[in-house]
Amino acid sequence: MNWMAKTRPNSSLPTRAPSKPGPTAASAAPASANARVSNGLKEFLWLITDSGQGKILDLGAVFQSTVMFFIEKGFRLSTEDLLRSWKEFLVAEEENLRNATVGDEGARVSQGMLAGKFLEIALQYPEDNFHGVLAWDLFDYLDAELLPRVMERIFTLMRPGGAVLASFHSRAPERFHRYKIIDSQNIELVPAPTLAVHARVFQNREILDIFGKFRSSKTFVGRDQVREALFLK
Amino acid sequence: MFNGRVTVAANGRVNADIEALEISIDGRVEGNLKATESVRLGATGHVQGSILTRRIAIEDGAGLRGKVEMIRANDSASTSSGAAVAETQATPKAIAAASQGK
Repeated sequence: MNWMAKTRPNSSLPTRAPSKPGPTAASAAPASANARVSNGLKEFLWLITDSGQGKILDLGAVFQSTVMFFIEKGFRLSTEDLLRSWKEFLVAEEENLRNATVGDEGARVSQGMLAGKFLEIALQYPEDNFHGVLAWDLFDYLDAELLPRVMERIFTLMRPGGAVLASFHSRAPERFHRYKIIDSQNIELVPAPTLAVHARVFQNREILDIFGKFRSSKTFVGRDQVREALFLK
Repeated sequence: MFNGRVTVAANGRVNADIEALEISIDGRVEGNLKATESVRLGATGHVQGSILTRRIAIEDGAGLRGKVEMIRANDSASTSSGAAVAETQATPKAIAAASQGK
């Protein structure tokens, strides 16, 4: 997939998506107080449209509206709440450690080993499977040892030309949210109990480094200063 | 196809595929769900497996690790589309109505 080669509807020339919300970017006003415009979503949908009955992987919490949104558009959706899985995994590992006999050095594991062990059960899909991956509020919440491994795995799961939509905070968020899709350009932030601590604020250069294996990128900055980043495999 | 309603209550745990007319999950299921009419995932429900159904209701807070596929309206109740069947991860190994919390 190529941004420059892909023609937008009602235009014979390739156009660039605006880098910030503007009058042509999203005219529909969000319905609720926790709703926000997502130009990243709009662009993501435009990129995956050509995939027909493409496969989407949502790495956030499952919501009725998000599921139906993609199904009604003809996509096949898989969901895996990675932060929730990671938290449940850590709780189980802590329990194992508590139950280990004193002096059982085998029970001690490093963060890197934990990350590797987690990925033996998480993100288990065929290679080159997904046309699109949604990852709102995920990567800047992951452990430093887990993040590069997750990125590597996501890269292998995606088809060439597939798109990842991810969000990154520009400052530490006041509270934890899950994200649900309202329509093709609006999402709702649903306040939720904290599943993970916001690990760090990434600089733009660091975000590019995280997605180093991907070949193309575009970033949208919302009024709330949350950066939505789109990357193509 | 089991033509009844299967409910997994909040304390219920099922490790099997479930096939029924209607399936309602408030507990934990590791297995594929196939419902000719509807699947409901309650706020305390968690499913690890694929869901194939005609209608689905997911309450906020529910967990799903797997695929969601819909039986199209013009498909018969007993046979879903070929594509949908091909997409399920495994042939249902059990028609399970058993649940601790049922």
